[in-house]
Amino acid sequence: MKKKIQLIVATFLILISSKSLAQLERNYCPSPFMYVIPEHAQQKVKEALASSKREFAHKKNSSFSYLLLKKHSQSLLEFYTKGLMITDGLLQKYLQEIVEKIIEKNPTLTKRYEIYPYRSDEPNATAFWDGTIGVSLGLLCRLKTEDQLAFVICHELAHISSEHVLHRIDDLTKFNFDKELKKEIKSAEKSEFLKYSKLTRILMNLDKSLKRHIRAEEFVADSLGLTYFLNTNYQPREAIKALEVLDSANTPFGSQTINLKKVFETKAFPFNEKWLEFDDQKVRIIKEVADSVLTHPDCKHRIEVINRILGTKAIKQSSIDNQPKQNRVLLSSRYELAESLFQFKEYGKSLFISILLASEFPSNPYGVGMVGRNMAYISKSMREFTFGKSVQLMNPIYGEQYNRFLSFLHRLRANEAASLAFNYLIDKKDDFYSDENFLFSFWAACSTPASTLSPQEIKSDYLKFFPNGRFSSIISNNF
Amino acid sequence: MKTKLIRLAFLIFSVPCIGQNLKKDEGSLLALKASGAISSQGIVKGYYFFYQAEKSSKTSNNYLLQILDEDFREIDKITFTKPITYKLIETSFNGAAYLFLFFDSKNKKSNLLSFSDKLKKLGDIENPVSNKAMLENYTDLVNGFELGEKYLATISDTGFIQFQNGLITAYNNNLDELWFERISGQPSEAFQFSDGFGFLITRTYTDERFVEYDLLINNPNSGQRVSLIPIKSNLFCISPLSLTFEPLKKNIVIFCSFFNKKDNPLTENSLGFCTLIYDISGKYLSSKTIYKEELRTKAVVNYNNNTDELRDNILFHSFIQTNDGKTFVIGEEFKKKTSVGKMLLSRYSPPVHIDVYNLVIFEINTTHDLEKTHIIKKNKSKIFFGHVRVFSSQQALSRIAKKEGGFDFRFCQEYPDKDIFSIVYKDTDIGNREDVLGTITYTPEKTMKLNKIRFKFKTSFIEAFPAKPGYLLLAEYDRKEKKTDIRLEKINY
Ligand SMILES: [Zn+2]
Repeated sequence: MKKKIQLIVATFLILISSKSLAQLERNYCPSPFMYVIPEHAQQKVKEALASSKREFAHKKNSSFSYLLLKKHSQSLLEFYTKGLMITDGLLQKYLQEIVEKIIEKNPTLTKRYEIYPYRSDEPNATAFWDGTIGVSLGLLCRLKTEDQLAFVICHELAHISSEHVLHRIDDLTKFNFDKELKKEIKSAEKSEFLKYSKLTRILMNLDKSLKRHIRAEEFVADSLGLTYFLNTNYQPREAIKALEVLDSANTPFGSQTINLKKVFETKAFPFNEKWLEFDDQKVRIIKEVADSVLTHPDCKHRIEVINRILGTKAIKQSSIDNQPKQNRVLLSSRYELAESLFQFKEYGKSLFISILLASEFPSNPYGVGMVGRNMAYISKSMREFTFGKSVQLMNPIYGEQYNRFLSFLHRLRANEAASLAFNYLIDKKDDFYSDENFLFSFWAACSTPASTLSPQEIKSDYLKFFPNGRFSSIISNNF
Repeated sequence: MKTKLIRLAFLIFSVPCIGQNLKKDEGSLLALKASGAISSQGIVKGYYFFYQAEKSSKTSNNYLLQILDEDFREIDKITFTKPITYKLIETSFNGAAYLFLFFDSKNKKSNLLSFSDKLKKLGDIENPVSNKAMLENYTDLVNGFELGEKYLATISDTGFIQFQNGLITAYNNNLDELWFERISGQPSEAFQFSDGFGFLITRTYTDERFVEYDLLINNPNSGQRVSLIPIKSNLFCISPLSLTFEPLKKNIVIFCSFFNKKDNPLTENSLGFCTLIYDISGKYLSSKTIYKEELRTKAVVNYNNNTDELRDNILFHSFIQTNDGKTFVIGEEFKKKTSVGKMLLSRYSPPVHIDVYNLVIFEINTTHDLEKTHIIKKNKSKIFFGHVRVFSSQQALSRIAKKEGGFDFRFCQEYPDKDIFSIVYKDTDIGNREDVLGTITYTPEKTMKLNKIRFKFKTSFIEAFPAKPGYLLLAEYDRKEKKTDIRLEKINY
């Protein structure tokens, strides 16, 4: 078994180092959206539910607990049916490989673990009780090294092996059948005044106590996860980096600076400096979010705890810190995220990532096409009163760079956005016209009022080159 | 009870995860009593939601006031307790403080409550209402009648002005009285300019069925009266629609409808409109009249494939001055239909049924001459106007119409630089079972640009509200998801 895994690792490493690495420079084909539950996932949930039912049988109020567990399983299955899980592709295989590496060094981890990237820009990872782990594209984008990712996975594995989901279900079941609580609620219900406030207070206390448990569980997952992590060959200090990444979660996609003028300046449509005017007075903090309402403990606190543990344990390798370049497979999650956000009609976010990709890989038609495509759709959203859904308002929690980007989009008029999209793509059309993703983007830009070309021609070219293409049904309708 | 707890369980129940998750704000059982945009100098600065929270005793109500910023994000909320007989009459924001006007119908007292922009309580004063007309007004409001009158005005950043019949009172943000002025009539409009305040005073004579108007100018610091001039003409009967200040020429411009001397402006058709110009000391400078016949001779720009001629009756909603010296008068064509129904109160008209037609914009140049007329075609709609006061002025009628959403005009969006403005309207296309949300913007290129979008009845219901410059607040109810999405949308031009 071990040998087999190593063999897979070896072939996989070759795969990454040659094919995918080159691919990021030249092209990228995003994973398709699947809205189905894979057979094996469905089977896994079914089996896990059946065995839990047997285990629950001797417990008190088992039917209520079982109901909650089913609800939990439902939320997992929705990840598939909503098309969020990426169940195939290089990125998924890479994640699975890391899981196998961790298991190999931690023989106590005996479940069948399956891991998938899921489509969300929120940096997060999720563990389901049946052994399924989800890591968001938003988190993958932000993580720099495999080591950091491995720590995140160890943390989730710790949640699963500590059966935290089942503990939570026990808690809720206990509350639901608590006699004292019932009495309290009854007396509140009978009161003439402030009935609702009293009831709310009871529920809030309950909520608080549940949150305390959740926070305690996080520390358990951190320290047990760290134990798993230290058994591997990964760099111990990267655990802290991983937590730091989570701490910066509110800054979308890091704090990269983008030069919008450089991106969008064309001869035909000069860039207007006024679009870059930025009034940071408008981006002011309204209300500090109290730590007590957060379900998760403060990352700084978690880092301290990890540091303490790391300090007492012998560190195998000295960590030489020289800001490693982002791991190439992890980098590919940015493409997946740009694609996912476009599909979710979150054109602002998708554009931001696409601009970063296009500046890093200027000869990859996918990123370049996505810049123009998102801009074309933003212009469309301005005309259709859906801009507010597609592009966020500035917010102090985002950080200056992203707010400047948002401010730029909010300053644009619909026809200006359309002109930017069209002129940006027409400048690049000679290099990429034969690429499917690019051609679709070009069609979108040519369908805006700013276009001097007929979208009909682009459409017929697309249908000629790619008769069964990804966009053939969209392109057959009007923009 | 079990069901309640289960629901809670699902609410809190989430899968363990590694990142930070914010729990959604607790829901609460509150009855929304009033809500709206808070503006200062015509610019939306935020929103308020005024709720009646659950009772803590038999004689008083708990109220909750929630303030959102211009981006529709909550700034804060506060609770306070008031007798159950309180009714919120009006709200105002002067750039630095919020003001709320309540009327206590049992104790016949008005109550002013002010808060800082961070919702710190600044002032709370009660005044008995003894003026008979004022008492009637407040009581009618409590009884659900729409008067469309305004009782509050602002002093930029530093205070407020309260209008009462026969009395104008100025307060600072802490609601200490700065000055007051006794007058004859009901103050209705106010504007602030560098050297003073201008007020439009309406005097109604119930027995004569006529209304007279005065222009009052006060010194902003001492409150001392600078001048009080009757707004009238020897040739016509005049009905002021709007009061503005031209900052460049330092003139006061009063925009009016005019009628035959013998006609009653409240029932007869106007002959056209006129502009009266005064200096800031209240001295009459000049006037200009535009007859209805003349309107038809000027250039007409049609939108939405309009082929209709300009109609006779126009209810004016808004008067915009742009920084290029132009004035835009925005109105909606309507036709009053025979009213049926009995009089409820003698001071109220029977229910009025109105047919509403196209949206009209008169573009008036710097010399107060009509340059062109823009007609924006809409589908004819019928509205039931409800009971309005017999002596309601045009401004009041327009305010009622806007508030009740009867007319298709929604609001006019002004911009701080006054170089552009946008008009937001809603049209209903019964045939195609669609709502149309439209915006017309006077662009930096000095042209009118129309943008509209259709929403299917079947899938959603939409409504637009005022928002910060460049945006409108769109509420979209998704019939399938049974959810309302409230968001700021850019106005496209
Ligand atoms: Zn966790």
